[in-house]
Amino acid sequence: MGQGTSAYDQSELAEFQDLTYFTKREVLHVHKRFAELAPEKVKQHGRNPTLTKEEILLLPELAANPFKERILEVFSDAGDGNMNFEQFLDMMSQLSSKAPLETKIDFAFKIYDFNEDGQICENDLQKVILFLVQPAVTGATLTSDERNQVIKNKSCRVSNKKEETVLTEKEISAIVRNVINEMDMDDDGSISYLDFKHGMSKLNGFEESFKVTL
Amino acid sequence: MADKNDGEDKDTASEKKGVHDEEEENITVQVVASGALSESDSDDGESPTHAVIRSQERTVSGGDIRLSSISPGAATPSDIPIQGVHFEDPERDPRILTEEDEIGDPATLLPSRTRHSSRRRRETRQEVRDTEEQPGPSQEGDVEMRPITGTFSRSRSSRRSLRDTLRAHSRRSVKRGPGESLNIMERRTLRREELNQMEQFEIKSLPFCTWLGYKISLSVSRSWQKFTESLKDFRIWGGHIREVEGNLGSGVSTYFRVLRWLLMINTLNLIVALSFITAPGLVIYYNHPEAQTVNVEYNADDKNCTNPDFFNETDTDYAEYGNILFQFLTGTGWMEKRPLYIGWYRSLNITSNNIKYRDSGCNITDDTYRCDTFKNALIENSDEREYDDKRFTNFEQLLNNFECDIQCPSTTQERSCNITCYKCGNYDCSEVNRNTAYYNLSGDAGMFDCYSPLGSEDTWGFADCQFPLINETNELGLKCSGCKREGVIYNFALAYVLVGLSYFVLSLLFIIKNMMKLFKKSAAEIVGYNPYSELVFGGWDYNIANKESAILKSKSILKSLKEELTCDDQKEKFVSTKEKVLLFLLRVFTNVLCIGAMGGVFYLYYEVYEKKEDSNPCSKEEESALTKLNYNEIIQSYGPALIVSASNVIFPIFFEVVGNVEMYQFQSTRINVTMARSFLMKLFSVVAYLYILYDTINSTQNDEDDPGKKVGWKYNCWENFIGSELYRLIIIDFAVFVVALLTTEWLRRLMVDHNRFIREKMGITEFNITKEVLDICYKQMIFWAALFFSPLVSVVAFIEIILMFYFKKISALRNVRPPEKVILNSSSSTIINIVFIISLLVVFVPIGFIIFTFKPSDKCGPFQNYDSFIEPVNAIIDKSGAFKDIILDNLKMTSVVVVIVVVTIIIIYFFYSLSSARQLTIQLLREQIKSENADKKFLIEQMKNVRNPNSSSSVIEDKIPDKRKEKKKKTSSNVGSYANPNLKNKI
Repeated sequence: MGQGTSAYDQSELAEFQDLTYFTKREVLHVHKRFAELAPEKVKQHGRNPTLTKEEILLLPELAANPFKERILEVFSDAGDGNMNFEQFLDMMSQLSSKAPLETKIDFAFKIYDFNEDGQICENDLQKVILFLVQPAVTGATLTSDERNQVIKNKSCRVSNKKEETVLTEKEISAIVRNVINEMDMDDDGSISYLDFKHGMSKLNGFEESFKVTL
Repeated sequence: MADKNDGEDKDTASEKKGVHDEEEENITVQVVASGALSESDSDDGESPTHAVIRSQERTVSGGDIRLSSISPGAATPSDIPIQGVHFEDPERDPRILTEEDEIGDPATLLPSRTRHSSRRRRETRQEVRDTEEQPGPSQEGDVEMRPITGTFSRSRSSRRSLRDTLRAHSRRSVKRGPGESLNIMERRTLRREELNQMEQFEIKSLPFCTWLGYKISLSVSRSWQKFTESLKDFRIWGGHIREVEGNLGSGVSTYFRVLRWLLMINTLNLIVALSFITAPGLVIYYNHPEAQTVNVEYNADDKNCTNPDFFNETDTDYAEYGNILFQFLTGTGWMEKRPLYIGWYRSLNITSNNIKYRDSGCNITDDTYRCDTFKNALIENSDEREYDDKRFTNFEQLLNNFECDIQCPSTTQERSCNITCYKCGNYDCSEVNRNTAYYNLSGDAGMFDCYSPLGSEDTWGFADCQFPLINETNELGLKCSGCKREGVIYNFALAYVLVGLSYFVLSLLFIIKNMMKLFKKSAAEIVGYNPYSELVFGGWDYNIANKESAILKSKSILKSLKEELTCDDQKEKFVSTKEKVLLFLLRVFTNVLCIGAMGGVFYLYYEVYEKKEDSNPCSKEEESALTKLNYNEIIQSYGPALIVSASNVIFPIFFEVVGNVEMYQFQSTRINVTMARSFLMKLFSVVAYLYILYDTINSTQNDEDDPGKKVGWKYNCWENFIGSELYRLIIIDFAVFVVALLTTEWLRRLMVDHNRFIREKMGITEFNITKEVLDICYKQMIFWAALFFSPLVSVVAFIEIILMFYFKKISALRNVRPPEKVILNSSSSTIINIVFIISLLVVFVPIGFIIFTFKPSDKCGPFQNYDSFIEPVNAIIDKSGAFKDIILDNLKMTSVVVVIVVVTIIIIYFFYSLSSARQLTIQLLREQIKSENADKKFLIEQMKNVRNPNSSSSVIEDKIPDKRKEKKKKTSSNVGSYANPNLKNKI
């Protein structure tokens, strides 16, 4: 354990073990990964420093994810994406393979509910779709500003690409319609938490794919 | 039970609080009606009062909700302390909310309910003031978090039993329960509080014994937890699979998961095979040198040279390294004298010259082999035996009748002799082997020990025997006394056949266990396929940690979305009759083509085998027995295996081409059809191979010569022959795998790297998950088939899977790209499981047929004295009286197979029906949601009309604004807040 043992003593580890889905060993591993993101900061501020969003996004496991900023926003207390180790641990715990399906569904709902109104509405869905196809269209994972730009242009069109590789606005709205058709149980035109939970619990492979393992 | 429960809840609660309004009842009913929550947990050690209180607390405490069942009339309201017991509105618990909302909560919007809820809230506030220990700064007024903290604070004031606290703790209610909706700091505060509280309890007020009991149970549960968690930490190849997952997505990692899973199955087989077959086999081998001699003999007297694999046994061959390697790869020669094959193993009752006694016509059928009855056999039943009328005038004669050999060195003063006696057991002549006997010829009783691996039975008998002995009728006999059964003889034949069956049973159980898990997890998986939401919400693979893969994944999502859209368009597309007919004809043609191709391959197998047969190995003996490697021979011995393996590589490609020609409307149909064909092809090739092996060993010539013989086998040791053929297939298959890997993946990668044209035209190989999984399934089928004939194939399988894993992983990370369309994603492991079960059963049918009906060869293996492989089992069943008359006839032979298959089908069907039953429930609940939502809308509409007839604001708008305000309080990092936004508005 070496470094890990010095960071947290057994009782603290036991505490973390009780509070998260991790075992002690995993907690230490997560801490190691966390400390690697910003070694100086960790040195300066002791073991529970607050890292900025950008620093946390250095993590390769998150970097490739189009929803990475959203994940951090949802999980940081202030909603700005900065988090300290405990929050980070909490996040990783709920993203880990041991977290139950329900937790994951809750988490996913929060991520996809961009405007945080408790419903995934058409706008949210459009954003989700654009986020999903954006790496394919632009060929890169963008920063949030760039992404915002893409989202503004909605069709996600990049001029020199063939028609096949982009989604037209019409197509997007067709997809949105279809998703809502499939998921919306109460016919209110948007996906409520319940609809979402119901739909996700029978989704193929969601539990497997919705996890980040450090 | 539920009715009772809620009735009492209501009673006690209302009496305590003095609240008697109808809404109270409404709510309570709802808690219990949410069904999933109520779980009987009667605790006899507690007073009724406690039970009642606890039931309420549990209702509130969320995560580990267990409504205790209360016996009728248990609640005595007067006993209940007023102070500190608050009836908690279940609404405030997020967990309950979600449960409840699953079936819809129309009442939340009713005006009466609103009023009621606000009253609840006041009460809550009151409670906040009452109990000071509110963790976290943001507690005041935050309704979401109240219930949990409330539980603990109340548990102090009420007389909640310590046991509950402890239990709650050992279940880690903090972690698993409603704590989810608190952030980590808040949860920590809760936990500390709870621990403190427990300590207080421990220090105070408890009798020592109870305290000790709690302590012990706590520590036991803790250490168990620790143990299971350390098991969880240990997951073989976890890192590698994660790496693959990160680079190529979870689809490709499925392949590696399946490999890991197979490794587990094969490890199980390995353990069973090594511990129950190979290890005892080695013990027997080294402890009984006489067995060793036989081992060689069975080949040496193989004068007819009918077995092509036994031609090069002379020791000189070993000197040739090339030869050794060759033999290692073909599994012949010296390999056959190693424990690799069944033929090497001996049952203990086999000796070098037992054949002589088999022919001597003994047919004693009762249990005379035990020493005590042994005596009887001679003296009491004397008139029935062939030696009855003889007077044993001298010792030699006596022993002769018992078929004993005596070797006495003439010079030995104390006249110690070695006596070996044989007599007949149930099935055959077996040996009573005596070490050293002392006797004197004058007729004095001599004593000697006999140890006897008696027949095929499971006991060792030790006896002090006296002989010669003259009884009342002046008969001479052998008297054994003090015979006791000591230790347990290892019935090797029985062990072997049981292990042979257990490979299948264990694997089957393993697969079924896996399937059960899947069935449980996803009862609704089969019905209700929602392609769009699957792509949009479940499409992204969060495991991906690599930019290129992310782009590929995104492309694949884009493509699938497009495909879905075009599919929707095409569904309406009209197809003319002419086109339909043409398409039909085309598909008939392609199917015929596929079947024809398979038939062709079968014919090819057959031809090659005939050729192999024709080249008689006897003639080779003159050719200085393979001093040089004969390439012709390599081809001959590898020919059939090579064809099988090659066809398994080529055919899937062929099917893919055919599938492309067939013009399927949807890509997924094409992939499924291709997969089904490849799978059938693999099943077929294994069965065909086994059939050809059977055809080869089953010679009719012997039958013509000797019609009386039961079954004639062409080979002296046909089990070895089958084993070596299958072993060879495994080796070849692995070689083909390596070659295919090198060419299709590495070579292509190199070409792509160096040639622009190829790069643009082809790109690197796409990882075809279906094909690869079927490929390992095929390999596993051969393992299963071979295991019975060569136990050490389990080792080969174990090593091969590990090698495959690493080869594939290294290659996958460098040379392949993830598939564009993932048909087999990780959750379709149900399909994978079914594929494996089918393969297992398909392999089991021929192997089971062999085990149950074939006559084992007489020259080798542990079964040489039996009529079938299953006979040791039957013998055991025969012997155990309980079974004897009742089930004996029913439980033999093929019926066993039938039973196994039927049981399997029943189990699968059971789980299947379970899942479909759940689907029905889901369907019903869905209906309910819909109707209730309609109600809700109607009521809201009504309400609005009453309030403000002019406004026509929509339902949704009504919910949103308040919700946003709530959201501004950043304390609600709370999932529950989503659970029912309507409710929050109303509070």
